[in-house]
Amino acid sequence: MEFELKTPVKEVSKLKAGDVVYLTGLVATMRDRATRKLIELAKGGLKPPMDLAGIPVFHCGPVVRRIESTWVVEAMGPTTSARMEPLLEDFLKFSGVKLIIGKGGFSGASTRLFKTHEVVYCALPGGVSAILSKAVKRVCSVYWLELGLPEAVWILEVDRLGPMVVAIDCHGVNIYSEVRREALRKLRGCR
Amino acid sequence: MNIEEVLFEVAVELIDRAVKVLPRDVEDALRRAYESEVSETGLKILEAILLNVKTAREEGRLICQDTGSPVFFVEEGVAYPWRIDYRKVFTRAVSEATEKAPLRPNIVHPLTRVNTGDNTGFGNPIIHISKATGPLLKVSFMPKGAGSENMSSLHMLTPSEGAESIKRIVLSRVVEAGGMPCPPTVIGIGIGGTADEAMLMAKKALLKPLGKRNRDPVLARLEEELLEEINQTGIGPMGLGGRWTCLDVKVEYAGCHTASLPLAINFQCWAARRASAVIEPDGSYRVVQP
Repeated sequence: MEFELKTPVKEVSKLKAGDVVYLTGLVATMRDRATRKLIELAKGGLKPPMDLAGIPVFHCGPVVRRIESTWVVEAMGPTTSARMEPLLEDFLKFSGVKLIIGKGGFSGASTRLFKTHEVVYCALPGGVSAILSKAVKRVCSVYWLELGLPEAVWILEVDRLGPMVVAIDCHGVNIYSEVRREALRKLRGCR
Repeated sequence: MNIEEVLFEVAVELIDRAVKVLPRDVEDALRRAYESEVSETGLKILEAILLNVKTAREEGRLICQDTGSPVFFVEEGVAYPWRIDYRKVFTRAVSEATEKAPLRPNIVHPLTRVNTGDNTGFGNPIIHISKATGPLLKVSFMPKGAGSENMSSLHMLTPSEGAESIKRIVLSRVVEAGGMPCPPTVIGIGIGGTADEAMLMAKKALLKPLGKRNRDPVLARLEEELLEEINQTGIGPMGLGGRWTCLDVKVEYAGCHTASLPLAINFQCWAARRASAVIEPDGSYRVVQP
């Protein structure tokens, strides 16, 4: 199935592993340092300054340039989500995010978290920055600039961000671990 | 003619070209993959990749937002008449290109993680200098993305295990890496030498053109067998399943100690970006890719 998704994204159970999605609306970029910072704040009983309700989180460190008073996204694309895997459980618990966008996915051990929290993981092709940056309509705001340009949280308005593939759904299917299991079976078979 | 000014211009041009124009051999390999991919998801991904490569080239956009760690390779002919401070020239060029191209400021202190802001500092750019015969200077630039570099590894094998253990380890590393290095990848392999030399050979192997086999028939066969077996794992484009996990395998080797068998693996994402230039003694130059 192919879906045109619009934010806010609050319910994702209709998305099944293998579906193709194009997203229109708002996304929040977040990677290693911002993810950690959000969790640390939450553990201290504090709320982050940005409202993430219904906003997909995008594992991405964009190339941005300031032109007079506005920020322009020169390039952007997904980063390796596995780096955020040790933080995933806390992140899902504290952020309430329903859709994560990234590349490379999470291991089979994390599949249950997507089921428990009813969250979906969508994979964008890695490195296709030229087409993805064209999907950005504007930079709405930026938080935590002190973490550095790639690590800051950028709230972006996007138009048909995609194509992305539902790689981990909230029904217990994780394409990465299925592909890996099959690959390991073949490796053992040929030796 | 000021040779360092010429080299500065060449370096800025190489960086700009590398991050925006994918080498023809890599694009051709991606197109062949697209034409024979069997997975529907894989096709969708390869289609997006090819459209992206075309868009970047035609509109002067970055191919990938991860403009990598800046890595230079210098081959200075023994008869090249000039003495050049490569560190000074390339540092200035990377800083300039970071502003102009632009490049994402990626380089940080390894422990404090403080960003230097212009991709230089603490030994960056990385520069490998070697001597060659003849009167020419060859400079190559490789922006090396972290997603693939993070999957690289060094294995000090038991010599008696031989070629079979090399294949077994490479294949299991490919499966472990899954979608993380942005497949279909190019895999550079260094066999022999010492630990440091093996890693450098693995990286230098990534400069070689795709689709051309090693001149050594033993290594050519190893490259072919590895490529075929990697593409039978089914990891596929971006690790989501499919026929194309790897575009090509490039092997370099060096003699090693009778008690050692070093194996170095350097992953390169599908965006196998590189650009080279050959500079004459009079400062004239031509850019070649790869």
